[in-house]
Amino acid sequence: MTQWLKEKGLKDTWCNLCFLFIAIEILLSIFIMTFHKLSGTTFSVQIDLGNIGLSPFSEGHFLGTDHLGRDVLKQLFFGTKNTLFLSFMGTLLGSFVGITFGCFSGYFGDDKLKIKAAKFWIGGFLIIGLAFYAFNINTFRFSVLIDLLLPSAFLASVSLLIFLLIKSKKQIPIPFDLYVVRVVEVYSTIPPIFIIILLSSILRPSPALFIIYCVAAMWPEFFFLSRAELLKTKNQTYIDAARVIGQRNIPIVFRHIFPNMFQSLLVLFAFAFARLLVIESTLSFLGIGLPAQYPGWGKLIASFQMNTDYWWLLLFPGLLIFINVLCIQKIGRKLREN
Amino acid sequence: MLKFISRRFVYGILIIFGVITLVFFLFHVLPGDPVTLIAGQRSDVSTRQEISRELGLNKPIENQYLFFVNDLLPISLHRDTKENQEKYDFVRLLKYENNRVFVIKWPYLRRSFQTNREVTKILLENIDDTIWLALAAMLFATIVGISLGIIASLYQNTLPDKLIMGATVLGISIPSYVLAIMMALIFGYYLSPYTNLELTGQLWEIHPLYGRQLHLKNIILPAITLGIMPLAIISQLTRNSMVDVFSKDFIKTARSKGLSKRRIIIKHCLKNALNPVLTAISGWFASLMAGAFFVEYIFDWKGIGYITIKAVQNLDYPVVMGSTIFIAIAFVLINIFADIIYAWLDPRVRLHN
Repeated sequence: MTQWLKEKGLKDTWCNLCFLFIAIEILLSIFIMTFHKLSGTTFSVQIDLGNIGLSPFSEGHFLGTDHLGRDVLKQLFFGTKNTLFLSFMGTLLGSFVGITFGCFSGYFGDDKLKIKAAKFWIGGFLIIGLAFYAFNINTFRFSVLIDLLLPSAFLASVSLLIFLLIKSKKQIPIPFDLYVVRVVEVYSTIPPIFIIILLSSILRPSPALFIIYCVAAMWPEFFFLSRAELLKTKNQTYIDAARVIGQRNIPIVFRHIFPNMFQSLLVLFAFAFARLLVIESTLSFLGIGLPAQYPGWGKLIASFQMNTDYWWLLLFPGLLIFINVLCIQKIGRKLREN
Repeated sequence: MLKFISRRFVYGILIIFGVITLVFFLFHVLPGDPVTLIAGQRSDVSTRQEISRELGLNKPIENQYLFFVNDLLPISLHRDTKENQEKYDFVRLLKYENNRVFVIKWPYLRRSFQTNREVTKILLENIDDTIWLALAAMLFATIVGISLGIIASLYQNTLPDKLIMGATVLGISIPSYVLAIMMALIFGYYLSPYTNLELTGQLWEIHPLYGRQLHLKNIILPAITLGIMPLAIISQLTRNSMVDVFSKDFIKTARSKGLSKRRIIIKHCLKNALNPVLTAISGWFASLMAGAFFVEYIFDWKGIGYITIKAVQNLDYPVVMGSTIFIAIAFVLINIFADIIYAWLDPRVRLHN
């Protein structure tokens, strides 16, 4: 990996510094997490009403305290850990979902994925039945189950019988690409930050939920990019050659097509990561982000709003967000240049 | 061209329909009890039943969905009663069986849980502030961004170029809400005696003696804050495309003809360099405006973003739903116009689609 990065032009000193900064941050976060686990004590930031609003460089509190007497340096440490980890996981899982859908949708296209007609109909009925079940799960009663399952089971068995009788070998092409692209187009009308705000207005995020929201917001971009890149390389002769040898679909996609789009995906990954960092801090600034026991950059800035005399509550977290975003975007830009 | 436009519009309507479906199911499948939110924790059974009947919560979800879509359509089918007349404020078009009529009306987006006002009215009241803010910010960003980009490209690889490009990198990296707080604090508070600006304020303010008055100076700080990020992107784009154009052959020809430098820059370079920039601006307009939310929130600028964030904080679901649909419609329209502009400039796009 390091060799690869070197080849790809991380010779720039500024870029190296950025990379170093992010790496140190990630190492520190991992160190904090393991230490946290090993020591067994809770490292939560304590409220200390005796030391409210200490300015930076005072005794025991290097960067001062906030309006509840919590140490700013500690909050910054934990906040950085939380934000980096959650945004990174969100981007990683989002890219995973997006790339998977993008590759399948681009590779299979509108006519390549064929299944038997019987399977198609039975599957369709089952999906409709399950959808009804899912939407009525809040008011679930046993009678509802009977009401819904019996007709769908009846329909499924009737269709099964029909197709067994006919024994048709007709295959129906599923326009997978068409469906997925239409759905994603609807989805990507709303910008990512707004999707996350919307979801967290319905259910306030816990860390795991926040990662899910990030995935929900970020996958369309990865989907479109990977699909476009795949369509570019799909008709190359070496893909045909691989197919002639007798390779299956999935190995073709992941062994022959994926390496070609890896670099542009990495660029998008860097920018999406930077954007998620900002989104996380924005959400916690607005008070609709992670619950109060998880410190964050945005929460410090929000507590600055309560008392604007405590300038260090704006300066340090603001600077930290700024530097992080700057570094990640610098790395992304460097990757794009090559 | 007409075929292209009409197809884009039909497509846009389908997308809006999809967004409406998405929003409806998001807010109805996930947990949360709207009746408790309206009536509060302490309420008797009959009140709760009445509220759930009014919202249609006692019906199955398919009927609720049809009900919701029927409320949103401008031309829809309703029972011809006095209650409905007051609720929807419609104009009758055509009679239908069972005392039902086809009517024409504003899309009905329910009522706010907090203030019990119609969401459509709330949104329409506050949309103009957002539009003015967005236009002012975009105007500022385009003019200053393009001129900075031209300056940077003229002094390529010298000090001014490096300064401007460094500043644009900073402008892209800083989150809009941190920038907004800093701008508000520095220019609206610490330097307030010199700049004569205030921390918060509206475009139209009601004075106790003189009535409704226009305060143009209040738009300066929010517009500049909102414009910083588009400005940075636009100046980078302009600089890069200008540098590209400088190395083209027709510039050499123009120079060898003996044209003056100013004439070359204005007539030959700018015309070619600005084309990609303008299409990029129109295409990104929607996503650039996402920052307007936080800027409005911090400057207390009572636009759509301010209302939405307040509603999210207060769990005022109808307002959140309404503004989501509203914003999606706005984005779809903007994208359609961007596509049309693009197709008008570049005929190849029309043929491909």
